[in-house]
Amino acid sequence: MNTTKRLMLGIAASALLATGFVSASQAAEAVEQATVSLPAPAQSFDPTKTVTATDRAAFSLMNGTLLAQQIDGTIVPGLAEGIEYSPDFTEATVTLKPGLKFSDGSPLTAADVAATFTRHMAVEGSVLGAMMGRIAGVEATDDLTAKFTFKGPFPSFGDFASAGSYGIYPAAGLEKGEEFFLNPVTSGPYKIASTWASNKLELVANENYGGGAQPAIANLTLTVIEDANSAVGQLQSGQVDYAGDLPPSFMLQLQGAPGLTISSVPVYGFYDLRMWNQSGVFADPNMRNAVSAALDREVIVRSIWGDTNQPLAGFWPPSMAYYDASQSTSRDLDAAKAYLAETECASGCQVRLMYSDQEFAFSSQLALIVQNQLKDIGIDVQLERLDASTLIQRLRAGDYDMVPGAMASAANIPDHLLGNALLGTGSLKAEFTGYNSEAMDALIAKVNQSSGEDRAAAAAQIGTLFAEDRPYTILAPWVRGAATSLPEGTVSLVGTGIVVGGLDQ
Amino acid sequence: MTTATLPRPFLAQGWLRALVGTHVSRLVGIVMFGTIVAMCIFVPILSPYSPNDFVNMPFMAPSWAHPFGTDSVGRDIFVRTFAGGSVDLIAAAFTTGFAVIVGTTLGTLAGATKHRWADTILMRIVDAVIAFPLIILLLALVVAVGSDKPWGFAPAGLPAALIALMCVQWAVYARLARGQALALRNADFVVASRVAGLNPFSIVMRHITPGVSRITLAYAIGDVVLVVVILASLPFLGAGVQPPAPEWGSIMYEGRGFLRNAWWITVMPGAVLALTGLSLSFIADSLLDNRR
Amino acid sequence: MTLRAGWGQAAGKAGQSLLTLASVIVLVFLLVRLIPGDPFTTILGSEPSAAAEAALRTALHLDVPPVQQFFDYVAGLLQGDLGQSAVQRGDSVSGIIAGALPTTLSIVAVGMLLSTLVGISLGLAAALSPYKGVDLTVRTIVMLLYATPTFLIGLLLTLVFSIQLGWLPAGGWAGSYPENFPFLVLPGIALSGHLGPIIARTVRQAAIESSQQLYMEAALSRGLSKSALNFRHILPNSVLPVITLLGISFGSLLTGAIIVEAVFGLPGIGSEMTKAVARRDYPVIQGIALMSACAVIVGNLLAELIYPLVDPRARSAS
Repeated sequence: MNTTKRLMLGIAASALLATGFVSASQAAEAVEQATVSLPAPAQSFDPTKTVTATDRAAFSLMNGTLLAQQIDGTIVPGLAEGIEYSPDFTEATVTLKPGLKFSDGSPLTAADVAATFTRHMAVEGSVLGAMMGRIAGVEATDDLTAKFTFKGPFPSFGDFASAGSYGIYPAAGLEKGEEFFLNPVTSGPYKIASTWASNKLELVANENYGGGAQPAIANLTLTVIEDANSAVGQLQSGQVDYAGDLPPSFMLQLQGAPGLTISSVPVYGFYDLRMWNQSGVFADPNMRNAVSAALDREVIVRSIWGDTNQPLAGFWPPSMAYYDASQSTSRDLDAAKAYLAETECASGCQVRLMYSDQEFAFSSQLALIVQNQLKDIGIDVQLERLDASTLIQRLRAGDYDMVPGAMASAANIPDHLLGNALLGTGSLKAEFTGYNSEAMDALIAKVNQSSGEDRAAAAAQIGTLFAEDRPYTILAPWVRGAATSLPEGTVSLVGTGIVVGGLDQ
Repeated sequence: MTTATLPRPFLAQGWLRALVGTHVSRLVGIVMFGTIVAMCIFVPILSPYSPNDFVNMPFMAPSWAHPFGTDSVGRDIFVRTFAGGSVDLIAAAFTTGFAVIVGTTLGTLAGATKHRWADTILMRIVDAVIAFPLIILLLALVVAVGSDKPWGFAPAGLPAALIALMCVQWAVYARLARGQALALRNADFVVASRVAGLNPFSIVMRHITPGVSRITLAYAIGDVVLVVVILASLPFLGAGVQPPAPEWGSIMYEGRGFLRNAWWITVMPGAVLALTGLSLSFIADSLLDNRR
Repeated sequence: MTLRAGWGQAAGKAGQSLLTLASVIVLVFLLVRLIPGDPFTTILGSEPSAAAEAALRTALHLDVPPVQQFFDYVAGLLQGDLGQSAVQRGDSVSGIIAGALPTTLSIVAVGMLLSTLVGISLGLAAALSPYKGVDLTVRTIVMLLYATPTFLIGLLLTLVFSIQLGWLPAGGWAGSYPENFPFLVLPGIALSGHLGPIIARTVRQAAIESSQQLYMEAALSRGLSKSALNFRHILPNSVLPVITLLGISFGSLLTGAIIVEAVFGLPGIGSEMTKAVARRDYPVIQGIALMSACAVIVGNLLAELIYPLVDPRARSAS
């Protein structure tokens, strides 16, 4: 329904970031109680330990962040009044809004900001490495001012700091260690009324929240419903008001359902078909390019997403500023065969495609279509359906030929996406493909350190190099499906989190 | 497992009931089951396309061209259902056959033996196996055996399920056979043969085994239904036959996400499964009826 | 004399059940370690550092040899300690089970109640006029239900009663009573789709058998009315086996509940179990396996103890 609108909003958002912030977002109608469902399991309230969508949603609801993401995806000041960078972007001074408080009424000062980041930086094996790894140190110079020093230029620090995972915790609480995260004091729009029980987390609006407007939903229940049939059934019978992360098949089925608004929220990333670059058949870039040219993205997108998504072949998704609409997404069997002629697979070969339904609901559909389409250029695809745990282990070990994947950044942050999806020395091994190119890493460094036109030029070069090397095949932009019976602007998935509309201040 | 209950045989009484109640339902059962088996054999052979071909648009409703409709990638569900039927039926017959032979042999020996300690040990093993949660065994074996490679004719994923079922199913038959053997051991005619000096082996073979296997056999036919249902439920737990191989459970599992707009993907194979179960139950019941 | 023998027999059977339980503990421990994959990925993210992994290995007690792990585990069990979850830090296994068990037990209870009521009524209705229209219809329905997978029954129920008619919730759990009752109905029906047919068959057969017993003919010849007979003799004789059946079926009901919970999104033992297997949370898998095995063993023991009281033939045989 409002797919295209949301796709457009994503693009508009990125323009506002670097300098000033103006956004008088429309006030939402007040709702006394609402229930939001997500399929992913809840694992922890400690943001260094979990990456599940449900935990990230909880963080975005409970955690006050220096900058804040709004329901339309724009980034505005949150707990911070502003962030001032040194000319070379290696330092930033964060000025907090005066009079901030935690949910328990204790004051929130720059010392808490410093304590939070210092704690996260010290955690071993933290999942927040993409950001923490770039920070050298942080100290509070007075109650309202925190000074960050970076290991290199970090102009997008503020954007990173808008994701719920980077929320501020009280220094006194953090001293208690892990115990604190069982039922944390919060600094964001919501506080915990009762912690996870029976797959439900009860949240209540935090009257002490000083980072923005009070949320439109006074009492919010976050619930985990793994099975999409059940989630949609509960939405239709009124037990759930907002069902997030619905599989594409359900989005198609719900189109036109009375009383429901269906939306496809773009995430700043893409769905792809990963190929292991370091050994095996796909170590040859011609092989990877052959697959990319042989796949019919139109058919894949139509079968899986219907008209709620679009094909994508280039690196940058349409929700991000550097999207290149000129990259062809159409199938080219002649080109595929030409690439293939240069490889060991010129007269046909066998490859493995592993997948897990637990990871993406449409995995088996995608696997079958890929198998069918690659048959046309003589590649015989063997399917392996695995459970998610085995799949992740083999993914980490590089024990695979092909596997469906998806990658996104927490907000509209090009360097976050690059760090996860292409950086050869990154912790995620370039979207787990083992791709490692010095030329690419140099371009990424350029994007990280620059802004404006220089940045755009480097980003475009990355797009070109990606098309040459083709470390993996991108299929479509990542969109998160959701359906709701609430008025528009009340609650929505945003990036990797969830945002509730604000009341008039 | 629910299979632990033994349907007690009916007491047939009167020719009219024997004819109407027994023969008609048996005839219906045999005709139905025969038709299904025949279709499982001939539909894949005679059909213009193979079960894994993308033959038409996805999500086509049942029509003359595709009697059961098409699935999410445009495969013909009619062909897939009957191609999948042979996987389910052969697998069920195989594991049940194994369970009957192993379980009945062990159980009869345990019931008939004079060495109570042997009986006790076997029965404790049986109890442990029956008490062991089948689902955990299945999940563990599926990951341990590996679900990525086919074994001969068995499509990938099936071997693990078969091994798990074979590990568990025999125990029920052992308990069943032992109970029957125990009861028969004290039956007048067995006691009489013992007094008459027949050696124990002949007693087991001539008197106890026939009584035991009659009940067991009827029970086994019903059990085939249960195994088919279990096999079909496995994909729901992340186990079971690997795609793209057709199998009733995996077809239904793949269809469950499309229940609202393409019910036929789930319901059609489900209906065939239920009818298969119905026909087998008719046969099993009528067999029990006629024996008395 | 007979009473003392009865007690002795009961104690013997209870002892055998303990032996069974011991072998189950060994089996569970061994099998859980057969599952490849480890909990580190789920706890530490996809790229854990070696130090973090080693620390966690120590915390989870996985750094000692398996034999010692086993003895420590048994020692813990003897003190009633099922261990700590490997993934949900700070949660004890018994806590997780205690949190999830009430949900599962309520569905199992509703499933048992519905199967018993429907099974007995259908079985008796069929037996009153064997091989006539009612009987054939009932038998056909019962056999069809028996052959329909539980998950399919659940999906169809949701489609009809929640989505089309809007009478009942499609799934979920309120968390407190009496709000939970509407959420119990469809899962309960789905679960009884398996046990109900078995009870109906058993009752029907028992009723037909008992109606053909010699003493029935004798009673008839004494001039007792047929309905009095039905009520006084056939009803008790055909309903008693159901008690045994319920004991034996407890395990399969738990298995069925796992599937039903998946279909209806209920926070019970089944969903904890699937979650634990997916995350390789060994202690939780062990705990749940052990608990359900206990349930089956106790169910069987009760059935075995009750059976002689119900069936005089078995009493005299042993």
